[in-house]
Amino acid sequence: MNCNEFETQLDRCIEEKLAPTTELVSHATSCKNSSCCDRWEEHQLLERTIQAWLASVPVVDLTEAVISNSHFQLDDVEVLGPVPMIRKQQPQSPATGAIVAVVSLLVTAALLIAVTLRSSTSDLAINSPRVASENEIIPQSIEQTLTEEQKLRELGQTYASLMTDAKTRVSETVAMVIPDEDSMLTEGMGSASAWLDAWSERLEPLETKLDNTLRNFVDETLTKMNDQAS
Amino acid sequence: MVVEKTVQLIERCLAKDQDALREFVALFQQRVFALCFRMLGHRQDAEDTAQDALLRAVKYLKSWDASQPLDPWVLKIASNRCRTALAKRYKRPHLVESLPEKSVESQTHNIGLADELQLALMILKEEHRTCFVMFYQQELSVQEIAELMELPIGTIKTWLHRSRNQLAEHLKNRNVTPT
Repeated sequence: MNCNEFETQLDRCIEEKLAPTTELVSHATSCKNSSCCDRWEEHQLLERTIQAWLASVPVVDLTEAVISNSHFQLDDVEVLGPVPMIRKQQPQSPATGAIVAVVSLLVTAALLIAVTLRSSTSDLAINSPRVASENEIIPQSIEQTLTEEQKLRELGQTYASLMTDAKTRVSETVAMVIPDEDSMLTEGMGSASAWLDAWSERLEPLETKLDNTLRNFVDETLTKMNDQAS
Repeated sequence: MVVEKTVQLIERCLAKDQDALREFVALFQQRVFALCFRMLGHRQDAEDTAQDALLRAVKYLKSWDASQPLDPWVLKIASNRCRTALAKRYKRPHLVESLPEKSVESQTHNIGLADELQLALMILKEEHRTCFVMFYQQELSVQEIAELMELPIGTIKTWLHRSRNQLAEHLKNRNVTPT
């Protein structure tokens, strides 16, 4: 037996769980090639260690634990096979909470804008808008209110278009990151998080502006009402 | 004959026969636990994962194909649960208890050698470790592992030899010598 045959036969013994032949052992003990000696030494070391390792598994009894939990498992048997051993790992939502938070924020903002716009519209309806003649001087307070309303409307439109875009993106992201119970690893997690962060940053100044405008508008309206009342 | 008995056992389990369920669990619990113990290297985690795997096997019994052997099917579920448990563990590595560094007894007692190999196993890639444990611990053939892992036989052979080489290297570096 030469060194190549020794290698091949040893591999075969390992793969087929066969005991080494006398010829193989004879070559291993007599060959001067360091590669064969090392290979044989490693083989022996591993085989002995594996034997010790195999004998050291603790004995357990999980019967009661499994039986006590299995009664409801059989009630709703699902016709599904176990997941494949090696499969493409499905992404899981990296920040489901964050998505929910963003969606909630957007919905709240939408409601706020809708209420504000309706209020502005109804206000205009109550005050019967009229066409001013060319020479008529529009009082400064009314002009200011109209400017504020115009600003608010523009902001609302911008906000609404951003939300529409956001809704589409969130829907895409949610569709992309459907969670899988069996897979805890994620794909594209970084990009989704980065996208959410970017959106938060973009929305923040707009929110602040909108809040300020609304606050000013409400303050001025209240002042006007108080003035009228007094 | 064995297949018939297995099918009967599963049918009884599906009919919610408690004795059959006990029999099923008793039949697989040690193998499933051993797989989990070797894959996770931690007894408590292994018990939890083995229990989870057995519950899952019971839950999905109806989907078992009676023309296929039951053992690899159950082991596959256990292996998947181990993979999930390991993925969870990687997210909180500080909670994992590692095996002791080189055991004082490692040169004289079998338990020391076993610890050394278990320690070495944890450095292997997860799929290589699965392959090694399935081959030696579960006594599956290369062919059976290839079917279970849905991979070519050649890949399993490569992984097996690579695992052995890595383990031997690790043991030698730690001056482990069997008596």
